[in-house]
Amino acid sequence: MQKKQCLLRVLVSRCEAQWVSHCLDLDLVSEGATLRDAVDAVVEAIDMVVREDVQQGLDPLDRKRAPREFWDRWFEVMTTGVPLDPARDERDVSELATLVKVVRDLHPALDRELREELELLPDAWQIATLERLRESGCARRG
Amino acid sequence: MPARIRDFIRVAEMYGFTVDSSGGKHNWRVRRPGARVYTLPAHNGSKSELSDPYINAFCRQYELDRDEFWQLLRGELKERIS
Repeated sequence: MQKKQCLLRVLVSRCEAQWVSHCLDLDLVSEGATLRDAVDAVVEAIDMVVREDVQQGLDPLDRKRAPREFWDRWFEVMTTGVPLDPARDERDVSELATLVKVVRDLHPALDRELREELELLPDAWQIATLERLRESGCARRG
Repeated sequence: MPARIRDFIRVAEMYGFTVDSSGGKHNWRVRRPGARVYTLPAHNGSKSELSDPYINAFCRQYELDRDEFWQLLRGELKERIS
């Protein structure tokens, strides 16, 4: 079985009392009461839209992407942040950048997708910026 | 300012969307005929509150007038103009 995989970029930020998780490749936003809940929520959201798109014969990656400012934030977190320590209190975390891997099995003859699986990359790929950047959070989100 | 999910659903229905609450632990689905599905964060069920970034992304996705959508959410408009 031929496999095709892609990585989707996710930015998680505080917004008032919630955490907002944003898949930039699909411009898909979800939320959670905790950092971990927000990450789980966007993984579920990605799974939902990818499955529906594939069932309808549409390529999920043809969806509109998030505006440029969010990509700039994601790259900034990736380049200035530190690997997320699972033991760290999430109150110390300002923003998180991470990746979700989508693996699609392709029909060998038809190049058609048969099924897909999602996987959140391990903690080492979850890069966080800490509280000092917090003022860049919810208010400037378009 | 966060929006209550029931207010969001009321306004989304004005634009022809329907909401499907089955299948997800954290999210519901929002659909409109002829358009791709989108998700609706509902981690607190019908008591969920939606953040500004979510509402803005939803409007971007379906090319809705964001100002009008917010006015409808706040009750400043009773019906769509566009």
